Amino acid sequence: MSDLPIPPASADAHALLLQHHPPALASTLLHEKIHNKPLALHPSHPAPAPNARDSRQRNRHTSSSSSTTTTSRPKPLTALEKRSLRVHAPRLSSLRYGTFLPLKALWVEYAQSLVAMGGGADAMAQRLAAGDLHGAEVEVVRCRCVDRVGIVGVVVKETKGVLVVVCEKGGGKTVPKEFTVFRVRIPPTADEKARYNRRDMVLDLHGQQMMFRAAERAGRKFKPKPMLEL
Amino acid sequence: MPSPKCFVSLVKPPAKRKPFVNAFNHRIDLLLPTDVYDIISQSLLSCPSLAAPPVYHRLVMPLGEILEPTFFNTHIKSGNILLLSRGRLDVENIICLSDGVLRMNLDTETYERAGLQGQPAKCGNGSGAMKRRRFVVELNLRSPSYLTGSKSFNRLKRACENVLNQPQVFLFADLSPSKLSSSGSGSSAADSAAAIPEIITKFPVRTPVPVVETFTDVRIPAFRAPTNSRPHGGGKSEEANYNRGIWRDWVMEIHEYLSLLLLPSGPADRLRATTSVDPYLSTYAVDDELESPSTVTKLQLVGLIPAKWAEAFWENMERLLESLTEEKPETVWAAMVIHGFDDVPFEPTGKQRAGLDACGNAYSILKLPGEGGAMTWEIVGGGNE
Repeated sequence: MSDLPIPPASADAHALLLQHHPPALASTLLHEKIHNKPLALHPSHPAPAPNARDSRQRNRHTSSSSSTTTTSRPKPLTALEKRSLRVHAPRLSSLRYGTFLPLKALWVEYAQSLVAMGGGADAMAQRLAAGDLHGAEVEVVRCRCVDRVGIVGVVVKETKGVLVVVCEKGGGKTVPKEFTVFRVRIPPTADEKARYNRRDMVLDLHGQQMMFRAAERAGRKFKPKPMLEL
Repeated sequence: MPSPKCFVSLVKPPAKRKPFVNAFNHRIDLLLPTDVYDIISQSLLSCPSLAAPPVYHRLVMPLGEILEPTFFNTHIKSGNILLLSRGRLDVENIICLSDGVLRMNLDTETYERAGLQGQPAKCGNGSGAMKRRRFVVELNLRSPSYLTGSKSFNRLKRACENVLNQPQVFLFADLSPSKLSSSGSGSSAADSAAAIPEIITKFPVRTPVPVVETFTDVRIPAFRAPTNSRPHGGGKSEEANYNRGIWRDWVMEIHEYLSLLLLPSGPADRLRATTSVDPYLSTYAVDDELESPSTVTKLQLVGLIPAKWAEAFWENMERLLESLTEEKPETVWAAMVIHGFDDVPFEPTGKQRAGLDACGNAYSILKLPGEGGAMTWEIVGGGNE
């Protein structure tokens, strides 16, 4: 390749090569390794002011390499983002007991109807264990974390691991279900009380065995289970 | 299995003896040579301590009664009482109150239901299924956070109503200074009667009455340490070791002698002058005994005896002994043995005691004849055998 003419644009490069190599080798090196090979440089700093032509070229490239679809719907939030927005968090300080009294009365009727269905101890137990707790007045009666014992309130929200209750003084408390026993009382109907002088039915619900979301628990078949510890 | 420990100390005046502090004691035995006892008996029985013996009550009540306003204000906030419930350590729940601090040793279920903040007990918990067996709750009822109606008070009240609500047998002793010093002057009696809570008036006052027994013909040691023996010091030579060793042996022999005198069925046969036994069966002999056996008197008090009363009693007795004109000073000695209650879950300092330490602490003092000083043995720990 040493006989090819030196392109005028690479004259300086050729002169540099000639300082270190014999002419034949310099010509070969120029044509094979340097001429027409792109040389990457660091971008100049500060960046050069964009001229109109460059801007147009850049826009053309980016718009063609963007997403294949043309829709621009917002992406769904990730779980982390959801939690940080705290949309679903119960605003405990703003809960008022009075707001939930009608719900409490409703639950009492519901519970009394569950009891009235009768059917024997096993069927009753299954019904009550799977029964909904929203609106029930619940008391923490035993807990491995001892400070929670004595919390009394109406259930406002039930999640997989937690019961949120609103206390009579106002304000809500989040009580984890783990290692906790909740006591629920179902008062007798007026009729039962008058006729048989029946007292409250008292249930102790072991939170440890109820670690399901309310909807899941409603359909769950609870099997009898030996239990050593809470 | 932790074995009981015995701490011995010998104190010669003017050094002061460490005071005795075990809160709950149920028996005091005082041993004296009979001739000494005869001389001082009148003044001893009428000395200030015995004139106002440590009275106590056996109450049957649920724990919540101590939160009633009269009881709470009279005895817990202003007075000083001792309260101990009956039960076997680490098996049943035990409640004790001394110096205004309520301490409870509870099993898991009671603790988790009560809702009172406490800690896992130092002993009694293992691994796996035994991880959370016993808990210990300590509440300082004298602190200002326990006023009727306050949060902590209400928590305790709730626990007493829901969980600790069975009537239990308690031993109760009122230690307030007005009680101890008043000997029934009219106005103070009226004042104290007005403030006595109703629950206490339902149960009769029990007064321990000193029971005096005389043992005749008993061999008595001279209570002299072997020559050259010393409690500590003297160097590292073989001889010094030997001197220290024989002092320790002597001390334990004396303690054994005192225990043999105090056996429930009377002094042991080996101590009787008329003993004769085949050495194949027993080689016990009272070391260094006085020439002729003589008589010993035992004065016994059973009840709920506070530490301060026992101290005052001993001091009175020491004073009386000092005031004797002694013809034969080497025969003047006196010993007192105090038996602590079994199954007390806490030392007075608040340190926990384990189920294997169920046996009560025992504390013995011996005033050695002459210038010997006072020797004390403190036995701590040890299970029920």
